[in-house]
Amino acid sequence: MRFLNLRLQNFRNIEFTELPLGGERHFLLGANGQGKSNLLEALGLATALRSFRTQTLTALPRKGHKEYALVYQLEHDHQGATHLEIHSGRSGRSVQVDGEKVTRLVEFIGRFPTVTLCSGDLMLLRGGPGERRRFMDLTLAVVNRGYYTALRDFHRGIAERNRLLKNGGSAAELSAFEAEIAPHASTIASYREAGMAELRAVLCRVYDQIAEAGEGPELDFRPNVDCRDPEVYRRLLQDSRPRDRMIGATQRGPHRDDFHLALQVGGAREYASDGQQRGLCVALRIAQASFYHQQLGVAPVLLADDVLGELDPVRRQGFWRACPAELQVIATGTELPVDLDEWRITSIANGQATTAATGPLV
Amino acid sequence: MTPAYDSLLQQLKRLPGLGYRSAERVAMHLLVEQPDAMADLLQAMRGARDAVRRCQNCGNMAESELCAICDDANRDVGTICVVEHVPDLIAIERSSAWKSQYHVLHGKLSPIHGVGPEQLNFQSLQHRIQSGEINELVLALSNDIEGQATCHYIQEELVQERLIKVSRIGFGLPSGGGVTYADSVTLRSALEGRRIYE
Ligand SMILES: [Zn+2]
Repeated sequence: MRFLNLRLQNFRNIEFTELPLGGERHFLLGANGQGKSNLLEALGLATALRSFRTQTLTALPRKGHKEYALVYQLEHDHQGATHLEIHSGRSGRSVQVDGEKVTRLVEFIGRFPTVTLCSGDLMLLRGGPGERRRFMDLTLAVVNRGYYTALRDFHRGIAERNRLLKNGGSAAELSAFEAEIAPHASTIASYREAGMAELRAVLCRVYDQIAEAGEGPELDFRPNVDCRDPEVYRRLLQDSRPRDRMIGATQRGPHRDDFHLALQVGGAREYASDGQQRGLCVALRIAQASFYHQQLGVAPVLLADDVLGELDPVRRQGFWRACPAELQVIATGTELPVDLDEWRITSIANGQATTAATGPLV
Repeated sequence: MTPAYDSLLQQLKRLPGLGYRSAERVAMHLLVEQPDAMADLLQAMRGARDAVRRCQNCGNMAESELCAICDDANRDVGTICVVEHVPDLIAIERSSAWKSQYHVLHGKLSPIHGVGPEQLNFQSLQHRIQSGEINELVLALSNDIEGQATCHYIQEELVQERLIKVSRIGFGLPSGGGVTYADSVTLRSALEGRRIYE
């Protein structure tokens, strides 16, 4: 897939601007706070209506406005030239693909895959399990609708069960929800198990091209409980009722899963250098992109928010070795990139995109 | 505009499906454009309010103790399609895929929304089950966690060990979707392809 053009209205600090794309390598150049990350954020919304910077999407419209509009032209591996519109306003978000309204998020997720690299990715190593679960859930939901619906129904079921636990719900009601939660937990467990194993294989291949000799990544799925067998998890929920009632929440299950991410030269959190950690995060993002490509048959677009400049020269070269040549890359930075002739440059100032003379655009 | 107009507008806005603009259009229509229609409308509303009640057997809309469906001697009383709401029943009737009786629960189990077994029309369903007349229950509830849990509850708490065939059609509906918005073809194939509950 390749973005050809993006028009934005009342999005973040942007009143209206047009960003011509279409090349293989685009560099958005600008000082901090000028809006270049907002442009990447808008491109990233095309994947799952999720922002890489915030979980609350209410912050997206421009100050003093309640609605924003994003209009994308893109070239899709399967659908060819495609027109995508995302509107958000008082009545919620609406999405149109080639003039046809998309009524359910499940039909939209993963149709237009992108992968965003940003400095916040270090939280996958340094942050809590919640950060890693979000990564895992998005990665698997993009490639599999069954995962997305199982996850949605599971979380909904847990919320209903938690309410019963808090309000002293009857055993009969708890049984009814537990029996229906368990199969979803089992579906999630098998997708995570298989998906993370697949991702680990890809990550090892990618990391080999980025790293110095003697390093290797570790990526291990760490389930909170083994719930591949729904009956086992159903019984665990049933047996945990007294404890869960005291706390007013479901203590164990896939909503507490985690994965371990580290380098073989010791646990990444303790021993890996800052550069090694950044390298691992970049490798994980490229692995995610390759995973999408392999599972969906659609080449995702790589969106690199200010990270390539932070890599040391060795790892930056490693990035380009590992990055599949067929992927469109759109990067941002405050300084012109070192490998200048590779890029088409667009300057971003005060929420306006201006194509620089060095970057002739189609 | 005027206090009476404003209060009418406020009431109309509370109705489902009416935003501010459509409420305004309706109010203008009734007060200014077609004031004569108001009397008929008021009469129809009062008449409906006084006449329409719940069928004591199945929970459908009725004007006497039993609704037209329960009162229909040609309908099989042994086979019952359980739905959440009256519009679901109407959608299934429209698909003409069902020729027997119904039971309307008026909701589904959802602790988050404060809906427990006491809030649902389970009591008369229990009576019908206990009467021994029923040999098949088809659960046409939404294909979401609450609909599924409600199916489970009916099986475990109401049917229990009785020799009643219980099946679900939820699997045939779009995931997360309900009966009312499914088209006739989907409903028909969902009803025909119903699965025995285990
Ligand atoms: Zn009736």
